[in-house]
Amino acid sequence: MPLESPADLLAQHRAAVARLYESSQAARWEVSLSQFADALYQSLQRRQSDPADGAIEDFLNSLHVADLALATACRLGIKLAWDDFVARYRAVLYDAARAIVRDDARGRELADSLYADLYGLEIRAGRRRSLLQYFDGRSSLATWLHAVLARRFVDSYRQERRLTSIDDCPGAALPGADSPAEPPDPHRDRYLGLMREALENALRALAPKDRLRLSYYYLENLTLKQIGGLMGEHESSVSRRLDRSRKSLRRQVERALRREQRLTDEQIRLCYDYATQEWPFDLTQALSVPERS
Amino acid sequence: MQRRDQQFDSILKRGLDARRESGASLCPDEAVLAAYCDRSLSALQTAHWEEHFAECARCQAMLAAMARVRSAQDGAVARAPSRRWELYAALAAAVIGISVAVGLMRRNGSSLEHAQYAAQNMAGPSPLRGEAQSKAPEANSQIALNELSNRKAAEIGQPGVAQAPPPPGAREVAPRAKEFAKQSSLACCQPESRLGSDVSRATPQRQPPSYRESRGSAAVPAAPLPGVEAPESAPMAAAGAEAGARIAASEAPMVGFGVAQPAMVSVRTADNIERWRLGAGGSIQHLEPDGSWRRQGSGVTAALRAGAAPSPTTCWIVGTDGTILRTIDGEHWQKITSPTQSDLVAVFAVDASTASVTAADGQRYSTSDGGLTWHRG
Repeated sequence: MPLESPADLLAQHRAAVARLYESSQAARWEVSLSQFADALYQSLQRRQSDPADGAIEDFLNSLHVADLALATACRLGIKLAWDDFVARYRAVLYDAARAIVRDDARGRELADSLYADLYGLEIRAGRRRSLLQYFDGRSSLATWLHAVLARRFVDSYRQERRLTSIDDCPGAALPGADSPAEPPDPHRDRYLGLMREALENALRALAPKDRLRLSYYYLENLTLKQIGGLMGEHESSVSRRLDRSRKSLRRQVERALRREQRLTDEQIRLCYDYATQEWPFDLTQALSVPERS
Repeated sequence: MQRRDQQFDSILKRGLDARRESGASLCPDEAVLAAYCDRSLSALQTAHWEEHFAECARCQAMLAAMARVRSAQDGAVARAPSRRWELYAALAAAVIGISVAVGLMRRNGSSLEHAQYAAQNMAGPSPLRGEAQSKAPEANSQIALNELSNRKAAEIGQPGVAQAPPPPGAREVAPRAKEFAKQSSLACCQPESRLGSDVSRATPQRQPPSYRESRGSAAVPAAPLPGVEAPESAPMAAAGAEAGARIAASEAPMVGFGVAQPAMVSVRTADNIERWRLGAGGSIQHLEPDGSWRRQGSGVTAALRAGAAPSPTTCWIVGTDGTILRTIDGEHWQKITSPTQSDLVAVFAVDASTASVTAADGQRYSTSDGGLTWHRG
């Protein structure tokens, strides 16, 4: 039977909800069973699926219910819970912000900027709006706070980048503008285009997970261990798969240039040289505005 | 060729960057990002979002930031100096104790008495204080002594100490899954666990020239403790720190034609009945009243490494990636917020509220409120 409201959840899965309520120690924060059931229901809704009853209880059992209870109590404005939250997570927030920003002062500033939103100083239609209402218990509260900090930092950083003068961008070239030096090779643009197309085709053929791993390594400069932590892989597996992806890409690119485009070794060498010196720069992607989901 | 490698790396980097979009309305919210990092999403959802992450610069940047936070946390734990000397001392005591036991046995031939004496003196400092703690080590030691005596007796062909027969209804436990501690257990770290950059250095010949395991000013943890460099060392380090002699329950024995089989971890209650079996992929099996084994939903996919059951309805389980589970009714499992993302290899529990867990790096965390808060030590 589909769940239409928190009351339905309580009616159809009362034993499970009661057990989770006890396990979460929500009563310690003066959160009632119905308020706790409401939080569980919101988490279920965010799954965006309509599972069978068995799967509902499996999902509920997988939640971090103690964290969910604390978050619920905080967003309800229960002072005891908020004091406990600050005591437990203040250091977590500062340490995380410092690791993200790599600067003590700016890290503290980033962490402090969150508190008002977490507490819910903003009130709309008589209800306080706390950022904690978006915590659904599928992760630990600490990891969720890390995600919130990461998002704030990345969005503000990208905002700053968009305001940076074009002249400050190294190596940037406006479409249609003349290159600083006249290319001596009339085939230069063709070679650049062939190399770009070959690489684009090879990347498109890669599995998304392999592309993601490469992006973490080459673009985000993460270590093998950090990549492994994100992808649930051992360091040696990360290394092995990066190597395999890279070799496969290179093989496909050179095969495309050699067999499909009939380029000689010397011409392929020029492709590499020109592509290393200059890469077509796309302004539109750099200037597009990210939207919050 | 090296120049060509470097050129390709540079071209690949630009090609990857050119493919990425700057972020759009399809980006997931923080709850999904966090669930992805905690690996709480289903396989289908994970694949769906990874397809988006592969093309999204914004999401990659956020996930990279979260990876750095986690790395900094792991580094802070690894750099904690106060635990190292305790670890070294406990490890040394354990190694000396075992060496003395073996040496005396071989020299004198009166193996049973000497083995018991050596095992008794292997006990290290207890992780928890209090009356409940004082009861467990005594019982643990007796069971461990009996088993150790039996092992040594088997080696030299002498009769050992008889163990109490299992109660009726309890199934015979496979020899590979024997468990000696009543309230705590220990598990070997599997080779695939993350042990830090030392693992990468161990196989340099497999890495291309351009790959490197540590970069710039990223918070890379210090070199792993000598006691935990190799997976096999972690259980020894933890054993030295725990009361009594505990033997790894998840050894992978050679069976049949020499093919190693994955072992299940056995969890017993104080009455020495094996009530749960743990395995890879979040697998939990429970002993039913009719003697059959029934699978219980754990809600996790991590490898489960150790368990402690203070009663037939209360059990704590730990596993890889900081996984901690607890049941208070013997049937349903809840995830407990973990103090670390490191692999957990041992757990000691007094009741539903009081427990301590040990990470692969030897760091121990204790709780007295059912996992709401944890403190080191």
